[in-house]
Amino acid sequence: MDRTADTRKLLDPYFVSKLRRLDLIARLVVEGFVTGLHKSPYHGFSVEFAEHRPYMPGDPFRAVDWKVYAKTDRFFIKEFEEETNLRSYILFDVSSSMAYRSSEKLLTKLEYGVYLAAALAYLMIQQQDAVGLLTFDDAVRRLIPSRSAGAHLRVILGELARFDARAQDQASGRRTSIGPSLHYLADRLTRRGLIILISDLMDDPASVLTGLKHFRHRQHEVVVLNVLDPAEVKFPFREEMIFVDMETRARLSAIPWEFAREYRERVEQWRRLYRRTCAEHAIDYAEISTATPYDVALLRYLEKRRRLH
Amino acid sequence: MGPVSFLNGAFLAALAAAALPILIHLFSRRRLRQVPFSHLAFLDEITRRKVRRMRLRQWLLLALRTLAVALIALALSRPVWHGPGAGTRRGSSTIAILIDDSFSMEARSDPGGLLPVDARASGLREATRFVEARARAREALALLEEGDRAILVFMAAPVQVPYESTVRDAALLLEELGRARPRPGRADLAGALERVYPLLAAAHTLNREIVIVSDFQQNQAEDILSRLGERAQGPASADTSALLPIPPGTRLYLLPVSAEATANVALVGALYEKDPAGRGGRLTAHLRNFGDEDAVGVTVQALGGGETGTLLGEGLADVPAGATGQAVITLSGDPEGGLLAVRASPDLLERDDVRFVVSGATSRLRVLLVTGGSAGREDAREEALFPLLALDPWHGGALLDGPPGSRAASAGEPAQASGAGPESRLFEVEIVSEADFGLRGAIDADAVVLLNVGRLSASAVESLARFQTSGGGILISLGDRVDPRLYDTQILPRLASLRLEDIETRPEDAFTLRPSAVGHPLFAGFPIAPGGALSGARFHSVVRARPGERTRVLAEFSGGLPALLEEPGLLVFTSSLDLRWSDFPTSASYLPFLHRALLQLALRGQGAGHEPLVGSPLGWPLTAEAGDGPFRCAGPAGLEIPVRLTQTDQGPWLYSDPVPEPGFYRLLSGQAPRAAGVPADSAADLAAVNVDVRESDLRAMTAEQAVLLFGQEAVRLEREGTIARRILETRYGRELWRLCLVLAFGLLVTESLIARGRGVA
Repeated sequence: MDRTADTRKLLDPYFVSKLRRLDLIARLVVEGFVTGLHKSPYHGFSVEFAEHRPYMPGDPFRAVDWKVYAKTDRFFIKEFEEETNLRSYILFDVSSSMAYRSSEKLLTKLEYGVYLAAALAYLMIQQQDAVGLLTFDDAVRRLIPSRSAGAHLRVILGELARFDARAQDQASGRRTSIGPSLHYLADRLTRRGLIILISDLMDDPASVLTGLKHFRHRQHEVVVLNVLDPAEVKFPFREEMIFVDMETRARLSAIPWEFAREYRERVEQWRRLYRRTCAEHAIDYAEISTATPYDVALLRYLEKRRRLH
Repeated sequence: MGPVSFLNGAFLAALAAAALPILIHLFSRRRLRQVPFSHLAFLDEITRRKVRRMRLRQWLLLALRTLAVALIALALSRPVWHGPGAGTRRGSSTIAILIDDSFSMEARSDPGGLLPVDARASGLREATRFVEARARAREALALLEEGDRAILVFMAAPVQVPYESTVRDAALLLEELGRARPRPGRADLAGALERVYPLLAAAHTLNREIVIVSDFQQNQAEDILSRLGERAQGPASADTSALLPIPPGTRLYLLPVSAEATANVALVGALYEKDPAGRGGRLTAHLRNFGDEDAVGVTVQALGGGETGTLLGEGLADVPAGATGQAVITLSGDPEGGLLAVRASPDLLERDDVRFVVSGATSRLRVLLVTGGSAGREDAREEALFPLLALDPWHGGALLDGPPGSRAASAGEPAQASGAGPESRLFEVEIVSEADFGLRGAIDADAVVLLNVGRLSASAVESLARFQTSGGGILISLGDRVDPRLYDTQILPRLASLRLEDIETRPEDAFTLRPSAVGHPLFAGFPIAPGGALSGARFHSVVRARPGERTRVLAEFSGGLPALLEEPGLLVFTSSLDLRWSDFPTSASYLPFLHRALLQLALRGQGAGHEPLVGSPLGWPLTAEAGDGPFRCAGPAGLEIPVRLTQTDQGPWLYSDPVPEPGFYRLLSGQAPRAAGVPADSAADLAAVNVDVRESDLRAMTAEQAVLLFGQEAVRLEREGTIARRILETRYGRELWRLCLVLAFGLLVTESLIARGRGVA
C-alpha cells in the first residue's frame, strides 16, 4: 500500500487551509507557559537540556547526542525544555467495533476517527504544539510520544494511515478496553496536557469514566470525541436478521422491531450518562456522527470550543 | 359428525397453499441476513428478556396464517357436512309423504287454540293432530325442486294413494292434501309402506326419501311388533336395526305431531241382550279409559234406530285410569229395526264415543282352545270336548256328538237354541295342542283358553303376553297336568300378578263354587240366591291361588279358596273345565259360565274385534233365499259398497269392499230388499261396523319402539319450522364454506392485531 498517498489523502488541501485559521486554545495553563509570551513556532529546540531518551524513527538527526553515541554505540536524543504552548495526546480506539458502518455511503468509525485524529494532529503541529498518539483496542498498541516537530506529523499520520489501510482487517475480534489504556497513559505523563480520546466508547462506562477521571485528577484537560454510526443511535433495522458482534463474533438472531424502542432508550441513557458525568468532571464531551462530514463535525466542535473559551 | 363431502373437490389442492406460510418462514429463516454490528451489549440485555416472548409470538403468527390459508382453501372446495343417514350425492329426489289420516288424528291437539287459516277454509273447526300433520306435510312438499317427484299416501285403512305414480307437480298433491280429512279407519303403517315401495323402486332419481307424518301411536308399534316378530319380513332392509323394511338408499324422516294430550275414554264394546219375556232388554256398554286420570260419571246413552234415533236408556259409568268400566242400561223399548247406537260423553276424540249394535245379530268370537299334552289333532279335540260342546257345537261343520249323557246334561242354551245352524253360532273355535301352540306366531283370535296346559315354550308365553297386551283375553283353567311352580316361574309372571300354590284335594268333602263378586257382569243372568252357589257342581281338586296386586276374586270355592280370579285380560279358573277334577261340565251353569267368561274377555276391546271394523270387508254366506243378485251393500248416508261372490271352504260367500265408515250396513239383492218371506230388516243381512278402538289409545310410541321399527338411521324431526332445513341438510348437507371464511377472517384479524403489537421501528 502506498502510504504516502494515504497520508496525503488525509490532508485535503482545502481542509488544511481551513485548519490554519483556527487556534486550539487550551484552557488550562500548560507548564512552562508564560503569559503573553509565545515562543517562535520555529524554535523547536530550545536552551535547556532536559534529558536523554532513546532515538525513535522520525526524530531529527541533529537532535542525536553524538557524544553519547561515541561512548555507547547507541543513538540517544537530547531533549530540551521546550517552551511549548501545549502537549497533547490523541488516544485513538482501534478496536473492532470501530470498523462498523451501517451504510456503504458512510465511513467506518475507524476511518472517520483516523481523519479526525489526523486533522487534530496537524492542527497541533501547526500551532507548534506537541502531539502524540496512543492507539489501543483491548490493550495499548502503540504510543508515539508527543512532539511538536513538523516531521513528527508524518510519524503520526503514517501510523494513522496503517489503520485506514487495514480497515477491513479490523473486524478480527479485537475487543475494546478503554479504561486500562487511559490509566496506562495517565500514569506515564509527567506534565499536564491535553488528552483527546477518539472512540465509540463501546465499553463499560464505569471503567471509561474512571480512566477519564484519572486524567482530570492529574490536571490534564480531557476531550472525548464519541464517534458513533447513526444506526447505533437510531437502530433503523426492521426485518429479522442475525446480528454479528464485530468484536466477539457472537451472533444474535433478533427481530429488530420487537425491541427498537427499548434499544434507543438504552442508548440514550448511555449517552446521557457520559454527558452528565463528563460535565461534572469538566471533561469536554462531544458526540460525532459519522453521517456528518468529519471536517464539518470537527470545525463545528472547534468553533464551539473557541467561543466557550 | 357424519360424512363430509366437497362440492368443488378439485379446490382441495389449494390446501397445499397452507404450507406457504411455513415455507416462507423456513425460507426466510435460512436466508436471514447476517449483519455485523459494532457491539451487541445493548441487544443482549434486551433480547435475553424478550426472546422467548418473541418466539412464541412468531409461532402463533405462523399458526394463524397457516390456518387462515387452510380455511380459505377449504372454503373454496365447498365442504358439506351431512347429518346421519344422509347420502352424499346430489341430484333429483323422489319423496314419498305418508300422512296419517286415521281417526286418532281427529284428537284435539290444542283445545281452544288458534286454528290456521287454511284449516278453517277447509272446514276444520279445531286444532287437531291432523291440522298439524297437514301443515308439516306441506312443509315437506315445499322442498320439491326442479326434477323432483313426489308421492302422497294416506295411511288410514284402507290405504289411499291419490296418484298411482310419482308426481312432478306439487300443486296436485297440495290440492289433495287440502281436501283431506281424517278417516275412521286405523292407521295402517305397514300397508302404506308396502304401497310406497314399488313406486320408490321405480323412481329414477338419485335421492329417495320417505316422510311419515303421524302421531306414531304406541299401539301401532305393538301391533307391528307382534305381527312381524323378531325380524323383518319382506324386502331386506338397508338398516338392519329396523323391523320395517326400508329399501336401500332410502332416507326415512319421521315427523311426529303433538301427542301430549292422551286423555280419552272410548266405547270398546256393547252387548245387547233382548228381554225374552217382553220389550226392551239390557245393554251393557264397555268403556276403556286410555288416560292417566279416572273418568267419573261418564254418561252412556242407548239410541234406538241409530245415532239420531230414540233414546231408550241412559247410564253412568266410572272408568278408572288405564282400566275398563261398564254401564248397564235397561232399555225402555225395542230398538227400531234392531239398530242400536250407543253414545258416550264426547271428549278429546269423539269418533270412538259412538258404537253401533245390531240387536240379535251375532258376530262370531274366535276362540283358540289350547289343550294340554302333545296330543295330535284328534286327541286335542277329545281333550277339549266339553268346552267345545259348550262353545261351538257346530265345530267342523256338523253338530258334535258329546259323550253319552253330555247332551242331556247341557242345559241353558243348547247348540241349536239359536235355531239357525252354524251360521248363527257365537263362538268359532279352533283347537290346538300345547305343543302345536308353541309353533304358532301371532295369535289371531278374540280369546284364548288354556285347558289343563302343562307347559308352554318361552315363545308361546311371549305370544300370549303380546296377545293380552294388544287386547286379547285369556282364560286359564287348571288340571292334573298343571305344575303350580312351573306356572309361577314361567307363565304367570308375564301375564298376571297372581301366583299358584299347592293342589288341594278333597276326595270326600268336595268344594262348591259360589260367586264373590255377585254384581259382576260375568254373573249377569245367573239365578243366584244370596250366599248361594253359582253351580251345583262338585270339585274334588283345586289349586290354591294367591291373588296379586291386580287380582280381583270373582268366585270362590268353599273354604274361601279363590276359584275365579280376574286380572286385565285374564281369567284364571283354579279347577278344571273337564271331568278330571269335577263334574262341572255336567252342570247347567257350565255353558253360561263359559259363554259369559269368554264374552267378558272378548268384549274387553282393543284388538279383540268380534265385530266388523272400518277398513275391513263384510261377508255374508250366500243362501238360497238370497236370490240371484246383483248384490250390493248399502251403508250409512246412502253409501253403496260393491259386493263380490267368493267361493270358500264353507261354501259361497258374498264379500264387500272394505267399508270406509262406521255405521249400519245391509246386504241388498237386486233393486229391492231380499225375496219375499225374508223380512227386509232381517238381522242376517245387517252388520254394525265400528271403528277399531285400538286407535283410541293416543299415547305415542316410545323412542325405543321407534328405533326398533324404523331403525337407527331414521331422522326424527321434532320441531316445527326445521323440516326444510333439516331435510335439505340431510339431503344435501350443510355447506361450511361461509363458516370457513368467517373463521379465516377472524384469524387474519387476530394475526394483524398480534403482528401490530410489534411497534414501529
